[in-house]
Amino acid sequence: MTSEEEFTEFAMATSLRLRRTAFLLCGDWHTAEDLVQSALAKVFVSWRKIRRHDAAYAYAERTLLNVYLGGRRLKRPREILTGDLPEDPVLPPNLETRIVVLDALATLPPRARAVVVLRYWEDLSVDQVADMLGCSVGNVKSQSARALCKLRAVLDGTIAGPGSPGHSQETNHHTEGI
Amino acid sequence: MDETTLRELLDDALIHESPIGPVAHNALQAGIRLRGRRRAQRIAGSMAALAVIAATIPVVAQSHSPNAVAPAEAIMYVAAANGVTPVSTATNTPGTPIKLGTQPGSIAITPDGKTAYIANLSPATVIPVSTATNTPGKPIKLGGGHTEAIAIAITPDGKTAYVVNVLPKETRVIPVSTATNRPGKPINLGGSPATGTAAAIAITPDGKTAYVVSVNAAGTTVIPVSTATNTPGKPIRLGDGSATGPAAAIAITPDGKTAYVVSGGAAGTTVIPVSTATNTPGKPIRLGGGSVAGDAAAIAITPDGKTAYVARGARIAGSFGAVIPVSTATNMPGKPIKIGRMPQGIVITP
Repeated sequence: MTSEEEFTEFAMATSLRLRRTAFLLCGDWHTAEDLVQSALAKVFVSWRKIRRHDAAYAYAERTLLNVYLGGRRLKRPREILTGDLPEDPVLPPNLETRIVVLDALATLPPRARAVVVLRYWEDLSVDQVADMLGCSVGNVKSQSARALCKLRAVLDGTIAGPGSPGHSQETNHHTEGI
Repeated sequence: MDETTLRELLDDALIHESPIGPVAHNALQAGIRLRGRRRAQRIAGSMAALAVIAATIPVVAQSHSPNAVAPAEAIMYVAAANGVTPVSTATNTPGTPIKLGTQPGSIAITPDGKTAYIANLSPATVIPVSTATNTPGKPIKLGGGHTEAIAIAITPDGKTAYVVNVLPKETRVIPVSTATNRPGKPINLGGSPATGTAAAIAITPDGKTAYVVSVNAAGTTVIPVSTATNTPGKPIRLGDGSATGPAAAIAITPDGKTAYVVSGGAAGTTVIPVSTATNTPGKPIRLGGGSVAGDAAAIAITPDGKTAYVARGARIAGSFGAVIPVSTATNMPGKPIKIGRMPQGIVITP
């Protein structure tokens, strides 16, 4: 298998998962796809070096983070404002939760957002996150504590708890301190 | 909100996912283009790589202040791909680049600060540049053929510039009179394997000896050259090929007692103190961890002679180049200071 075929196989296998991480980071599927594509292109440049290691996915994810954080540094507002709202398709049950969570994530600064996504969605350990972001363990801990605090403040009262608001009416009453 | 809740909320945020586009294919195409661009940059970069070596001069404040004795500011001359750029160390801003149309490899400035001599890789010439006007003078030709002027140093009395000239099969040093800007008789340092891919030169503060470092696959050699007679002394061998690499640097302490020789390559960056009294090497100081160390090396010693700062590059993407302080009293390295990946030079303000 040539290295190009090998890379394509790797990219096909990982792009969906990478795009989910990217989506949680930027909150928009199209931007997420762009981020993943740029990250994977960079991965290809170093592919010969990476493929020998088992950590190809970790490398790709780290590159994705760098692309995300690097892009943020250049231009902050990436969203295009528009007056016309698209026709909304039938709302899936958790749409509201989705929007609220994304809005809450958007209040976090990029690095704090990355910490939250890596720790709680990717389930990486504090050490792994520190390594990935190139900062100290203490920094990751304080960032995530602050981020969680902020998320709690934003989400408190808006979301009842896990699951869809539709069938969790009863749990609404005894939400333990969000 | 506990962590489990947050995990579920993040999962919730992902519903309503749209189908993914041809990301893998597009990334491959973009990657191939990017790789091509990087390769082109690397080729351009490697030519300029040797060239980014800097030197400082104290600018005597003739026009800036009535006090003409104290250096008002230091100007650093940084070699770039096509010439030299003066940089003010007070403000860290570059001035107008001085175009030379050559590939500068090394710079030395006369003790009076009036002239910067720029040694060029290709073609092998030395160009004097007036630091007052930043205008280049007539190039001094060193000899025909495929030669490179890799390193240059000027004697403390400012009378002679010694240029290290690497030919395909030998390394030689050419003394250039700064009064007439004419090259003298080349001093031949011997043929292969004494010659190498990298070279550096430094002159003792008393001006009596020029130490020339030559690095190649067979090892690192330092050759003392007497400036009185322009004859080479016995080569000092510093190690076998495995410990050395394609980078070399040398600096001599202000008291003239020790020459610190740096060589860098895949096996790591090593600094070897050489006693100038006996011309014997001391115990190597190892600074770089194996394959992490890169092809870049540079050294500068503080004016008080207490610390040698060694810059070393990093071979692996994502790792860092570093500047490592080495105590000249104990020859022990201090904590590395992380910097960009491939440092090309280091100078300390006077």
